[in-house]
Amino acid sequence: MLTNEKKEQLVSDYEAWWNHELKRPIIQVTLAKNDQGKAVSRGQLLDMVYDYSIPAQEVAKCYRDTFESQIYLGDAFPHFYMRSTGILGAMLGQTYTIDVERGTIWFEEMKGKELEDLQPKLAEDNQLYQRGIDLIKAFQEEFKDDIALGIPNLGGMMDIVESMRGANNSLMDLYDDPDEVKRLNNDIYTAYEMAYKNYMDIISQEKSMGYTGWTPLLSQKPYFISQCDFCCMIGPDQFEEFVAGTLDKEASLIERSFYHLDGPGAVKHLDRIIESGFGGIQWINGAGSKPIDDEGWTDIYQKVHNAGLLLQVYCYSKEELRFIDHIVNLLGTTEGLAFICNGQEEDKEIFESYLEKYNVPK
Amino acid sequence: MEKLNEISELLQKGRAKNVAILVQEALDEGIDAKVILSDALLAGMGIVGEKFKKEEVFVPEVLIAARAMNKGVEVLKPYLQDSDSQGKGKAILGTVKGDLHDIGKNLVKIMLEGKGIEVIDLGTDVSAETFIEEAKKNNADIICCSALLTTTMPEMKRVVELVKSENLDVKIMIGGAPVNQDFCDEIGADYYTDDAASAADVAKSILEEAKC
Ligand code: B12
Repeated sequence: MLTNEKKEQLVSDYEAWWNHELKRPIIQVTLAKNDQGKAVSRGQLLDMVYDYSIPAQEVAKCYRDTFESQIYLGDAFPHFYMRSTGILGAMLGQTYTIDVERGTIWFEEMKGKELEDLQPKLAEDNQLYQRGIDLIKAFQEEFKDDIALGIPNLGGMMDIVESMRGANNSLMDLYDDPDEVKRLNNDIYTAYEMAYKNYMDIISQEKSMGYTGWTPLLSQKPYFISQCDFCCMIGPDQFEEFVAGTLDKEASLIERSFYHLDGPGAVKHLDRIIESGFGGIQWINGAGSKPIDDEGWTDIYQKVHNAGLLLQVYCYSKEELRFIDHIVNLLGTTEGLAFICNGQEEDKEIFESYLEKYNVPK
Repeated sequence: MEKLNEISELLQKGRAKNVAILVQEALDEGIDAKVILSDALLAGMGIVGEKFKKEEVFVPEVLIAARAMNKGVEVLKPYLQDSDSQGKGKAILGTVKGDLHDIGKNLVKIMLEGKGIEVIDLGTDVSAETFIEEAKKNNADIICCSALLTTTMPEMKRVVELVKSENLDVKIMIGGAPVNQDFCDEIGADYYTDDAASAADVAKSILEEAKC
């Protein structure tokens, strides 16, 4: 776990970063220790999180081994949030299966139901929703301000519509029954807003290192990341009709808002997304497509930067550290940028050299 | 012809009911079923494919156009029976094992059918063995594999290996968001394209080459 001095430095540097006053990039380096100790796999953790027979306190205790199996360098810090993307759909009635081996969870289509049969409402006593609350409280008690806490990864409204209806149906629905799609989207948003406010409220009640989210930036004010992966399948008109309005609402609801821009298919909507008023953009290039430092993405970085938004990308290995140089050189600044890097303990020195190069306190 | 253009226009807008009605009218007027198929339905779908490639229309528009095409084809079917037997070639299509993404695959099917190619759609979660079995059983010309997950892409390599080990005379075409030309070269598949309309163009040229 981090020293008090380190925690204070992180809090103050991140606050400066959010305010566009930090004169260096945020660079997080999280390395897997060679000796993983008693840490269990990602899939096993996920399974425990969803297993109501295991008390939340026990889940929290188990995460201690996970936190201790990592080295946190630069701007990295231990954190917890309830996985996985689109969990709100399950709180609204979708069934799910957990794939322990792959460490992922699938939310299932609500087969046999027509669009108008889907009338989701979030019940305060919903077991999964409550589990989210119990977990936050248990982690607060166990770790105090040693970690940052995020709300569960609720998901994007149209992504949940798609997940509930099945992808092909949801695409046809846009033509066959647009009003019902909007009604469902709106019902999900109502549930989202309720879950968002209540979870944030619980995080605020006890001292932790701060707020975080499924993209682990640290913030002293509520922070969350919006998304719509569904948008890669639709054009600008339908984006305006079915997605943009909700994104506008999310961007004003969330004090420190970020948008997860995922893959080449999403780029056509970037201008409209920026207009929604998000504080920052996360860019994911997508498997199989050109790397982060490809010339093809220059426009994205420039647009985000020129609009005065924060920009975050991932470096998944030591080889990808070059992305930092690329973006810094391209934009001619080290400010307003965040790089979240992962690697192995044996490569510690290489990662440290990057922290040094960009004046990031170790 | 006015009527055929009208059908094509309606198809592009996804107006399934109207397409079916107008196809029937065209038949009643004595227009040949094959002409309606090629100059109205397939022509309309071809335009949708081109527009999709240029990002002028998107996935929902392609899906509703395809639904309209299918409605039209249903009306034509009884009149097309004899021309069916001399199809332009056969393709086996599926999403590989472990992978349930099928929107892209379905678009590939639509575009291939739009070129008059017979498609045997094996659905999703298809093992390499099943691809091979079905290709042999149906005497297919092309195997088309789709994958959307990096974890399921290796199954495509198994398809290539099995085709080689069994010495089958069939081309392998692969695609899906995480797949690219480098991966295609690396596993020794025959063709890769990054969108469904180009996939159909390539398939058509493969079949034409095979014929001469
Ligand atoms: C829709 C979707 C789903 C739907 C799928 C519904 C369905 N019936 O298909 C649902 C919600 C079920 C789903 C589930 C999952 N998904 Co998903 N999904 C997507 C999404 C948003 C869009 C994919 C899509 O349909 N695109 C539109 C179509 C038209 O594009 P396409 O498939 O690429 O096809 C085009 C070309 O590639 C080409 N093509 C396609 N096939 C072929 C074949 C041939 C032969 C050729 C020549 C060309 C070709 O032509 C098409 C049209 O031009 C993507 C995000 C993204 N940005 O791609 C994630 C994505 C693919 N999913 C992802 C993941 C991780 C999952 C899950 C594991 C999530 C989970 N934990 O539940 C599960 C896996 C389930 C499984 N076992 O398959 C990841 C994959 C990451 C990776 N690199 O492996 C992505 C990239 C999202 C992300 N950023 O994390 N998903």
